[in-house]
Amino acid sequence: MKDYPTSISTSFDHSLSGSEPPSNSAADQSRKLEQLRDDEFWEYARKLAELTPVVEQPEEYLTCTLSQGQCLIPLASLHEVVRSPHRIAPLPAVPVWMPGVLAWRGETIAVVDLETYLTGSTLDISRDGMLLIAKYADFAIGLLVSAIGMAVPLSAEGSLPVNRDHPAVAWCHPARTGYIKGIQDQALVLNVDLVLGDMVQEIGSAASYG
Amino acid sequence: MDDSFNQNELSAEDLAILQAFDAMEMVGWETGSPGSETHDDIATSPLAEQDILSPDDMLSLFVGEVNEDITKIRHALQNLDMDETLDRERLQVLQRAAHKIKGTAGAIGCTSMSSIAQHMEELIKVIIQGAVVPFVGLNVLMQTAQALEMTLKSVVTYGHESSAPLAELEAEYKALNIVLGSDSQPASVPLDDEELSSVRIAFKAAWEEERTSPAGSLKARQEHPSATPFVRVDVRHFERLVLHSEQLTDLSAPLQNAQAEVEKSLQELHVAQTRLHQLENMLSNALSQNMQPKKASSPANEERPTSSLVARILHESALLSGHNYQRKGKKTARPLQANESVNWDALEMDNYTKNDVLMHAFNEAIADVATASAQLRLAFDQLHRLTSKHIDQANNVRNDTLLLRLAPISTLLARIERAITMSASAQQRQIQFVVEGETTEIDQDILEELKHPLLQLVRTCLASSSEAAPSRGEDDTVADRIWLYARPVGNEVTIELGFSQAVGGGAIEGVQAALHHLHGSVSVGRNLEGGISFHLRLPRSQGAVQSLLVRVGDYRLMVPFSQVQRIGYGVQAGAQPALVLGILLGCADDQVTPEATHPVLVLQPGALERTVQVDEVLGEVELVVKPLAPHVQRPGIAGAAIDGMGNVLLMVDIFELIRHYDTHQRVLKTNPLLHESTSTTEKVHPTVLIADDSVYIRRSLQQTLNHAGYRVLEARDGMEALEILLSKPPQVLVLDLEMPNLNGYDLLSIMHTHAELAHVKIIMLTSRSSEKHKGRAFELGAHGYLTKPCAPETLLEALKSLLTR
Repeated sequence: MKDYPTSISTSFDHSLSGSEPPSNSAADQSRKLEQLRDDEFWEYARKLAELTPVVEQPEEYLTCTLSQGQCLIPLASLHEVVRSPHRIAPLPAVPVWMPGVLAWRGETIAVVDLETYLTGSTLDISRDGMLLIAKYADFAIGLLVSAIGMAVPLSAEGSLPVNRDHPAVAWCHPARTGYIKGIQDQALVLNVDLVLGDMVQEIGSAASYG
Repeated sequence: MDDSFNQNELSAEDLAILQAFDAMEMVGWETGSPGSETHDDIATSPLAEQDILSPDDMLSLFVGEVNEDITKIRHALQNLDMDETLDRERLQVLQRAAHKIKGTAGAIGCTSMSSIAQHMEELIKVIIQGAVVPFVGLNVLMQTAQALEMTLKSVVTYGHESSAPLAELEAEYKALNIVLGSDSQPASVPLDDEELSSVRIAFKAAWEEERTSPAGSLKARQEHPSATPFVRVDVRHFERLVLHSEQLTDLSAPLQNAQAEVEKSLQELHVAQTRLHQLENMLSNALSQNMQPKKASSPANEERPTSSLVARILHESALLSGHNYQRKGKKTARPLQANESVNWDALEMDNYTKNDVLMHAFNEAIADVATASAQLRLAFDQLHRLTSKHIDQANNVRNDTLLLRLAPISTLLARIERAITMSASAQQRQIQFVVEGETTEIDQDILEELKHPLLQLVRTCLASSSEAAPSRGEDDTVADRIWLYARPVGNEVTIELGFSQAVGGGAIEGVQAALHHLHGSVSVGRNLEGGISFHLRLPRSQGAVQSLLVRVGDYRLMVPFSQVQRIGYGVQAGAQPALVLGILLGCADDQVTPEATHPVLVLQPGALERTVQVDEVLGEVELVVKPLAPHVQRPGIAGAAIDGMGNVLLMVDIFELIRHYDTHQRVLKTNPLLHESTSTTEKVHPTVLIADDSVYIRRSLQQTLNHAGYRVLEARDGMEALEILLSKPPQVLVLDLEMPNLNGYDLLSIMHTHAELAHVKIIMLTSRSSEKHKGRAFELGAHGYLTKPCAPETLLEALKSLLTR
């Protein structure tokens, strides 16, 4: 972790006074600031801004329950969670994991059964459950999951690296394992950007059924 | 300064400009280059003073200064008389202003603006030399001034300049054969007096129209005096009206939902009321039965008369019928107890117990609830009627508001007409421009987006059409024809832009992209006059579309009224057997046959009298249809609407679905990879189509390929190549880039939309050797790229390689 100055005065003294003994007096600080030329003052302010510590907040992930396991999706990538029932309309020439489209905030968006997408199984395509409205580029995509659980904080280093032999990954189709960026308490941490990007591409390419 | 300069002829502003230039003491500006105008006074100006100004301040100064110069240019242009020889002095004023902008813009890094100003300077020179006819020159000067304005606007708006106005301007110069920046004389030649006079009148009218009517509607009004007068509306107010009308319409869905909820609650209330009645009966019976044992326990009860006559009557009736009657709300007669004395009530007054009173109150409460419920039902029915009316009115308001956005196609015509006139005069040709359906109205936003691509299409087609057109010989005096026919079809408009002669290539790409953005389409075909027609199809407005609501399996679909002539029944409702909509959508088995009992949509004439069967016609709807996001767009699905309940209804374009289906069927029949139908001859002697406008190239390639065992087809231009491709698809297409009618890129773009041509291998054979040209060809689907001159062995090797892939 980077060491940050503990106070403005310390950084000021170090940056401007060089070898002079540090002074903690507020009056001294004010006097020194007053004596600065405009360019020196802004230089000081810029250095101070650069030194402002940025506290890394762990990203919040939503636990999503699927029949074969759990996965984690960053909350930041979601617009909304919608309860069932969902008025899904079928669309021709779509991948098997896409039950259709529905209306959300006046727009028609694609709905994807996340479990079918991840497993590659076509036996039981869901049209029910909780609908996560995820944002991708300029549009939204609905992800159907059986249920949702708690939101858990997760830092970048918090989850285990993906190992294809890990039992938690076993239910996931091999072609999709590349979209898992980690494992946290048996739950798959999804790289949502990659997942959504792949979905959009596959939905688009399925259109050329002729 | 020129000796012939007469300051008395100049306006006060012109004089002010001249004085300003004189004061600047710009030495040698006429011959100086943009980079050579370093002046001593600027170099020696105090540096500290310049340092004070921030880049933003500098930019503000620059914008202000250039804006002033452009205003002066505009003013000077308006003052210029439209004589055969434009006033030289005024032109020099313009030239100096342009020179000033060139220098300033170049210094601040606005290279596009500097280039435009330089073009203006050079243009004035060629006008003064008489190499460009005055009216053409003046018009181009105005366009150049406009390009300057637009570039400056982009600087102000985005902080950096846009290069689009420069590109557009240079395209305009090219279209008019005006060559700047070289010593070569422009190709345009002054016309004779008669031609000049007729063209000038047309131009003057167009110019006047543009000056006096920014919306371009004046001409339309003059042509159609019966049209209602227009009212000027503040755009901001109009936008607010549109927004509010949209919000009003958007409220319809929640209103209907709320109404449905109230209806549901009313039904629940009705159920509760029924249960209450049942409880009341049960309670009455229970209370009555509580009293029965007491009666039974008293043997004397049977004989003993009750104190109430009514009670006695009821009792006798109960004995006869076996039913125990109770008077609601009335106290029943209480039998006498053994220890009670018989005390006849001579007045027959009823006595009430506590239970009787409670029962009475209970009955009254139930009656009150029933009354309130009935009143609520009446009020709800009234509310339902009013809500329906309100929703209808809201839709009307929205639709009427959207109608305000419509403008006639005639607003586009002035520019197109001018472009045709200018090209005709520049190429010394006679062109007749015919318009039909100019009153057809389209949304102004759509018109605005269509304006530039349509104009560009005309310019590109005309730019080299004189070279492309074969000589008419003795008929050289006959005027060529260009026509624009507009026709509204439901919520769509079709525009045919036809050319009686061969046109220059390269027109399709720009217009294709623009129409795709507008959710329209463009197709191209040979017309009856032997030329090329471009058929544009685009939405008329973004308003609600009246449609039939049909069901096909699980799908609830909207079919625009504009595509349906009538609804029939039976598989032979039309001239041909009905197609099944489920099959067209790809959601039903291909083997499904039409059912005699299902409704059939008889389509509007023009769709080969086809009929389409659906499972059920649910009714009609009028909803706003929005385009789908790119990844969920499907062939034949024109968009989606959301009904009052929040359901998505897909709108189908049946014509497109049929076209797509037919294409798919053709692919199945013709694609050798899908079927084993490829004859042995085709396998041994593959067919190669050579598309090249050079007879020499075609013949030499034919000899080479015939000798190598290939069968050869020939096309003289892109259009002919497309026709051969669609009628007799070859295995390989050897394609030149620069050809009339459709160039190589155009053809590649069109081939993309024909799935049945997906198997055709394409080798580009062109003199263009740059990576840019090569990259674009591969981007559009070419498989190989050879440059001319090409050794026969190289071509044969490429063909062999492609065919064995």
